[in-house]
Order: sequence, then C-alpha cells, then structure tokens
Amino acid sequence: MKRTGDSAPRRPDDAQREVPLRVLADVPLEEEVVLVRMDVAGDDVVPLLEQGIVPGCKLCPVRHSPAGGPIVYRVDGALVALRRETASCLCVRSALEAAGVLDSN
Amino acid sequence: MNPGSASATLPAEAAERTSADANHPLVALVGPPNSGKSTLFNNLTGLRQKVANYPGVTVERRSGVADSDAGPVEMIDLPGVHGLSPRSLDQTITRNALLGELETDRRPDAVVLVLDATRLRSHLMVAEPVLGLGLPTLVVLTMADELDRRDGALKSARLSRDLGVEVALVNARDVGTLEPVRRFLTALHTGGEEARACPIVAAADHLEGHPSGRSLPVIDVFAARRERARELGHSAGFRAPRPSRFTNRLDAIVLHRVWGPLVFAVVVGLVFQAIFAWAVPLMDGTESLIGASGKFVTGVLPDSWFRALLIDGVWAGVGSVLVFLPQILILFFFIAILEDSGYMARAAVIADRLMHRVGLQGKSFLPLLSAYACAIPAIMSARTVEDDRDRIATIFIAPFMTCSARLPVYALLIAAFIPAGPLLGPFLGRRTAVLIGLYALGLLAAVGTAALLKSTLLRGRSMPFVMELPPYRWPSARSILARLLDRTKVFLRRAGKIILAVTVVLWILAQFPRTPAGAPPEIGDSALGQMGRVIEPAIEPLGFDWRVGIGLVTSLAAREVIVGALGTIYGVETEDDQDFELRAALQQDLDFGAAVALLIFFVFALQCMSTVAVMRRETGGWRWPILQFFYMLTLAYVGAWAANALL
Ligand SMILES: Nc1nc2c(ncn2[C@@H]2O[C@H](COP(=O)(O)OP(=O)(O)O)[C@@H](O)[C@H]2O)c(=O)[nH]1
Ligand SMILES: [Mg+2]
Repeated sequence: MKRTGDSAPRRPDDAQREVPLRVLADVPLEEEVVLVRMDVAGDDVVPLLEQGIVPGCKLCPVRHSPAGGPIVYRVDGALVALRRETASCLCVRSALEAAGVLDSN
Repeated sequence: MNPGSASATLPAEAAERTSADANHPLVALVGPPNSGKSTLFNNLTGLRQKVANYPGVTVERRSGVADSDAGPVEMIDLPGVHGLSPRSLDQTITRNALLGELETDRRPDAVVLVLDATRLRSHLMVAEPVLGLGLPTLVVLTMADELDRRDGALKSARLSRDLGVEVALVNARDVGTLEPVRRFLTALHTGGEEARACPIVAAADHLEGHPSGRSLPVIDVFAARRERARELGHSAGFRAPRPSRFTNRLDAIVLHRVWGPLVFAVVVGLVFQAIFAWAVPLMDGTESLIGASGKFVTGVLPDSWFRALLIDGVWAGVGSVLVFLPQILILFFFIAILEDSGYMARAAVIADRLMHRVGLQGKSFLPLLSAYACAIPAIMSARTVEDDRDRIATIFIAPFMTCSARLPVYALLIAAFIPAGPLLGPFLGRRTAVLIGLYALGLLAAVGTAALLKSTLLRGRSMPFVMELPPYRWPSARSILARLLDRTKVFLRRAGKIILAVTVVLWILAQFPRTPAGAPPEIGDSALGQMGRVIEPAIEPLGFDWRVGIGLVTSLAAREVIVGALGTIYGVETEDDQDFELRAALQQDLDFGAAVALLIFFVFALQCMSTVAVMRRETGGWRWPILQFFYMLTLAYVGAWAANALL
C-alpha cells in the first residue's frame, strides 16, 4: 500500500470560510453533501468512521423513518441510518459547492 | 507483534510448521460484518464445522475443514470487524486470534480477507491493518453478482497489483466462482506464489491502539485510511454500484410512515404466533418421542437403581428441556430469515424511536426479541449494541422477557388454578388472558428497569446510533440450515451438561439417607426434603411449603426443571407421576393466592444459573450478575408476597 503525499488527511478547518456549513440533519432528501467536520466526542465517533462516514465522504439523505426516527443516508454505495441527534453533530457542505474545493470521489 | 519478522513467514515455512504439528494449515476468514465471511466459510467447508466458544468469553469460534487440490486446510470464521484495535470484544478476539495471542489457538498461517465489493471504499479501510500483519493473504471481494447487476465496475487484477496480494472477485453464494480461493488454499500446501504476503508493511498506525503504534487522533487514522482506500479504488477503476432499485422500492413500504410500523407489528406478531402456536405440535411430538423412548428403555433394562436414575433422573430431566428445541429452532429460523433478508436492520430502525424513550436503542430489539426464546443467546447477541451502557441495560433486562422455559411452569399452574372459560366472548379465553398478562408483566418490568438503570447507574451520554441497512437479499437455504445446526449443537450441549448434572444430583439427594431397611426414604425425610425444610421459613410468607421450596431451588438450574422436580417430589410421594395427578396435588398443596404468587415469582426471578454465567462472561465480572440476581429476586419476592397477601 502506498501513501501519496499530495493529499494529506483533510483538516476540518481548511476550506470552511468559502461555503457556509450546515448540519447533516437539515439537509433535504436527495441532496448530496460532503462531510466536513464531525463534532462527536472522543471514541464515540468510531462507529461512524467504521461505516465510511469520514470527513471528505459524500452523504445523501434518502429516507425518513416513521415518527421522527432515524434518517437513512446513502454513503459509499451503502445505506446507513443515523438518529437526528447524531446527524446534527455532522457538519456538511453541498457537494456541488464543494466540488471546487474537495475533489472527493 | 513485530511486523518485520512476521512478514518473513513464507508459505513454505508455514506449511512446514503445521505439518510438524501434524496439522493442516490454518486460514482465518477476516472482514467486516455482513461481507459474506460465513457464506464463504459454509461453501468452502460444507457442513463439516465445529462451533465452540473462545476461552472465557461467549464469542463463538466456528472452524471447519476445506479441501484444496493439495490437501485439507483448516478454516476459522472470525467475528466481523472494522479494524484491529481492541475496541470491542469481537474485535479483540479477532485481533488476538490473528496475532496468535490466544492461549488455545495457534497463529493462522494465512488470511482470507473478505470484503464487500459494492462497498469497496469503506471495506478497504480494513485491508490496511490486516495486510499489515504480514501473513499470506487473499483478498476476496464478494457480491460480484450485485456489483454487476447494479452497474458497478472493478478491475480486480489492478487492485491485486496495487495491494501486492491476490485479489479474487467472487459471488460467495456461488461455489462455481470460488476457484481462486481454492487455488490460494492449494498454494498454502505447495508454496505457490498465490499465497503471498503484502510486500509493503503498511504505516506504523496499522494497529492503532497497539502499544508500539503511534497514537493519532482516531478521525485522522480513518481519514488517512479512507483516502488510501479511495486512491486504490480509483486506480482499480472502481465504479460504485447504483443504489438497488428493489431495495429502494421495498424500503419505501417498510420504512413508510404508516405501513412501516404496520409491517413491523405483523412480523413480530408472526414470530410470536410461530413460537407459541405452530411450535406446539412439534413440541408435543418431541415430548411423546421422549416418553416413548423412556418407556422402551424401561422395558429393556432390568429393574434396578440404575434404571430408576436413568428414567426418573436423566430421561425426565433432559427430556423436559429437549422439549423446547423445536420452539427455539423455530425462533432462530425466523431470526435467520429476518437477518439474512435485511429486514432485521429495518426493524431496528423502526424500533429505535420507541426504545430510545425507555433509554435503549434500536439495536437492542433483536436481543430482546430472542430473549422470548431464551435469555442466553439474547445476551450474547447484545454484543451488536456498541454503546456499553445500552448493552448492559439490554443484557440486564433480557431475563424479564418471558423465555420459553417459563412456559411449562405457567402452563401447569394456569391449568391447575385458572378455570377455563371465555373472558371476552369467543376471542379471548380466561387462561389465555392470564398468560398474556404474565407476558405483559415481564415486559413492563423490563421497560421500567431499563428506564431506572439508564437514569441511575447507566446514566450518561450515549454513543451515536449507526445502523447499516444491507440491501434486501433472498436468504440462502444453506446458510439458514448451517445456523440452525449450530443452534441445535449449542443447545444440546447445554441441555446435556447442566440439566443432566442437576437432575442427577436431585435424584440422588432424594434417595438418601436410606431407611434402616435399606429402601429409599420418604421424600420428606430425604436429604432433599431436609433442604426444603431449611428454606421453608423464608418462603412461608409467600404461601409455599417445603415441596415448592425444593422446586424453587432446583429451578435455579433452569426454570422448567421445577415441573420435573415437582413431578419427582409428588411422584415419589404417591408413586404416580401423571400430569393430572400433579395438578391435583398442587391444588391440594397451594391455595389460589399462593398459586398466583408462584406465577409472579416466576415472572420476575432470575432462576437460571446459565444466564448468570453468561452474564458474568459478557459483562466481565460478578458485579452485574449479582446485582441482577438480587434485584430480580427482590422484585419476585415482594411481588409474590403481595399476591399471596391480597388474594
Ligand atoms: N448476492 C450475494 N449475496 C451474498 C454474497 N456473499 C454473501 N451474501 C449474502 O450476504 C449476507 C451476509 O453474508 P454473511 O456470510 O452472513 O456475512 P458475514 O457477516 O460476513 O458472515 C447473507 O444474506 C448472504 O447470503 C455474494 O457474493 N453475493
Ligand atoms: Mg458471519
């Protein structure tokens, strides 16, 4: 496995100023966004990371579950359900706006 | 572990070492959950597999033998992981197994890393720590069929070149596509070049959390890993599959505002219907089979103490547990279908909202549903609940769910004390209503206890709820069969060991001290009877006498044992152990209040030493099981006392 030098792990605060950030929970269905920052404390973030929800990944809300339950997101070709409160800790930017800044995928 | 020295383990050397052990090469299947490890394992080993536990923990160790052209290979199906840090019990076991740090297992000679091709980018993140182990590795990318069907693409040859190890794109459910895997296994014997280790041992963070590893913030570790995974995918021409249309359409119903909860209710209703109604003929059949075989043995053997022990002790005791096998298998059959089809994950999403309100979460749903058959597999399956507080709360309340071992006790007492007859017209009989009431009482206690725990001992911020929703798939008969076989073996082993021991001890205690004439004593004078009298003062306020006391003590082995034990106690007394006689004897011995008290005692009390033992293993100490035991005992005692006093 090789490490390429030019794309160092993305720092959360890199390109934030250019596009306003939103929380994932507020993104309407079918809008694709790029994850910028995760405001989850300590190791609690690991279950998210393990599902590929890592800064730089693309997320797209596809479905609300009944009675304000978890929201289903598409990430890396898979479906992952997150509670609203968790989705509120994830800061995202519209994928279109971000295209110039991050060339993810 | 020293990655440098480990990477020098060449296949030839590996084969030499194992042949010196007079053993086959050991190959570990590693990969994230749901990537197809067990499917691959089943298709490679057939049903020649063994299930056991890893020492000291309840994580199951599944091993089997696969054939290659050059000879047999031993395979183990390790618990699913997303990395190799010792973050959860499953992950710790997998990590230690791969490093050869388990006392009982030797280090694997090679690794088959199983990844879902449709989720290549997330799953490749696991590749780095696993390849970093320096063992000869084959990367198996499963779901080739789905990738194809959903217009994804991937050049596995290119990925193989970039990773430096063999990569095979397969459909794990189709034995015909598994040829590359067999070639890899053959190469382990012959020292062929297919079995090679990753030449570049990955960066120092390959075992994050390892004492020698640098400790980077965890987000950075994963971000870097994902970036490399993305590059690998890009270089291999990976095109992510489009979302499955079938899954999308089905989810529109299953997670619908109105239909979703309805489907959920129907599914849960169906499972219960199956356990309680459809299982009955099977259980009756099993029961008569046990009875008939007992009679046959009685007829064949000469009358002796040995025959009495065999029939009254072993047959009655083990038989009373075997009767539950059909029911437990039916439950696991449904659970297997629900899990393999992908519905279980949706059920967890639907249930999350409700469970969150009592302090639990959607992932507690499956363990709690299983607990209606038996608390032991339920407690073990609670491991999928990542949040430790939620997991402990789930484990703690699981025994309140009415497990099938309580049913015969309920059935006996209800038949003896509740007159049959309609309650709500033809729809609800009085006896059924009481039974439902007992189930509801258990559920209520569970909910109350969960809320209590989560606002006291287990208070604190909870981890994010992250639930992967796999695409809907047709369950494969083979995998379901394999799971049912597994369950049967585990269950029989348990019934064999614990229940056998208890019933035999019980029987012997009832035989001594002998009368001066050398005959077995009256049961009241036997060692068992004397023990019953010692407890009697404690249970007198509940309306029970020493006979019920003995029953309660024996039910510590497993609840349903009380039925057999009371049978033995009254049977030994009256030289007759017909069902009818037992009911009549109970009616004489207990008044109505005491009968209800006994029912309530069984709703609440934790009379199951196997549960306590599993609880200790799963929580890593005695603190929780002891607390749980006395908490439940107190509820049971107070509840029974109140019932006896009021009625
Ligand atoms: N279509 C398809 N389904 C698969 C394949 N491999 C596994 N599955 C299914 O994926 C689900 C999870 O597989 P399983 O072997 O239990 O995964 P494990 O958690 O890694 O052991 C099951 O429903 C399998 O039938 C594959 O190559 N193609
Ligand atoms: Mg498996």
